[in-house]
Amino acid sequence: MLRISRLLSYAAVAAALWIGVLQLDLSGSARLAVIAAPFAALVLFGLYMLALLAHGVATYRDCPDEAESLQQDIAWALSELTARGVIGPNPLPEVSE
Amino acid sequence: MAKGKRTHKYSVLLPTYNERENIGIIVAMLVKTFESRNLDYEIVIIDDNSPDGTQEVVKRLQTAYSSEKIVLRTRPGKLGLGTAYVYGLKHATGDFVVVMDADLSHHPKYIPDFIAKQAERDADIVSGTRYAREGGVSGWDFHRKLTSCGANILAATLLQPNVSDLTGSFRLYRKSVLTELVRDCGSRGYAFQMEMMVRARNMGATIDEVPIVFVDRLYGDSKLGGAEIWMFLKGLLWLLVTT
Repeated sequence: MLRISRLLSYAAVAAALWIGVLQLDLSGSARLAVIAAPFAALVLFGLYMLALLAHGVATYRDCPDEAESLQQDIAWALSELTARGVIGPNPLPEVSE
Repeated sequence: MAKGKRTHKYSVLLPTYNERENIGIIVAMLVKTFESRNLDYEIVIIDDNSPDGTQEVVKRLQTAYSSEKIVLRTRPGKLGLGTAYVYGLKHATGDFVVVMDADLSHHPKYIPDFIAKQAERDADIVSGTRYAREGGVSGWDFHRKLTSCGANILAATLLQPNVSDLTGSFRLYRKSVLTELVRDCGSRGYAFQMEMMVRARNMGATIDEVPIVFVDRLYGDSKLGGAEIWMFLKGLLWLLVTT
């Protein structure tokens, strides 16, 4: 099933439930709560996403040491390439194809 | 060759465009990583006709190392990541394929972790993740982290891919699986990596993850602007209606 069909079918089930409950003979305040429920759910979902985002950014690990160790590895690679004649004053000729 | 144990060959696909400064460095690191562990490998460089002389450096690397281990395939111009993989795969002889960026943001030292993880339960795909406990980034400010996290959380909520780093591009694939995936994959940019994972899940591939640290050395050049965010959202919408 396509992703969009799946999401729409969840929405359709929720909407059908909501309309079904609205048909019931409810007291004023209960009816108001039912009417407000989808909006409350949307707000809660938004807050949940925001909380996920805040948690994600807060726990996104910063690794400055990795940049430093990469610089060392680059220095090693450059000396290796110089030793092998890939870079430097007298670079190797290219392979002819 | 270990006796009785099945040995694999790993093909590293490196799509390049103007990577003259980096290509030699990444190749030297890759060679060291594979040879120090006695692993069978090849490096397939797919260059999109870089004007900066990337191909000349690759040819010198072939002389210095081995033109069997280092394979150069060229294309007439920038044609996108997906087709670079398709093209590179045609020339890849390994049974497993590593895809990574050639700009040194993906360190070859993680490849043994990918290989070990793959072997644990013979997974089809191992995806590098910046979001694991030991993973992370270097060189990103708050804004960059926010957009990266936001994009990932939004995509994960809508697509439910069971992969924590959807837009990451450091991955190990079983070659047959990658070949099948790229054939059907139509997205570009960030959406491409997402689509690969979504399609992989849909075809029932086994996917595992290893933590990686992404090092951004050129921060400033690669700022995420409104155009990229818009492209990402369009890609996400496209995946919602096509997968």
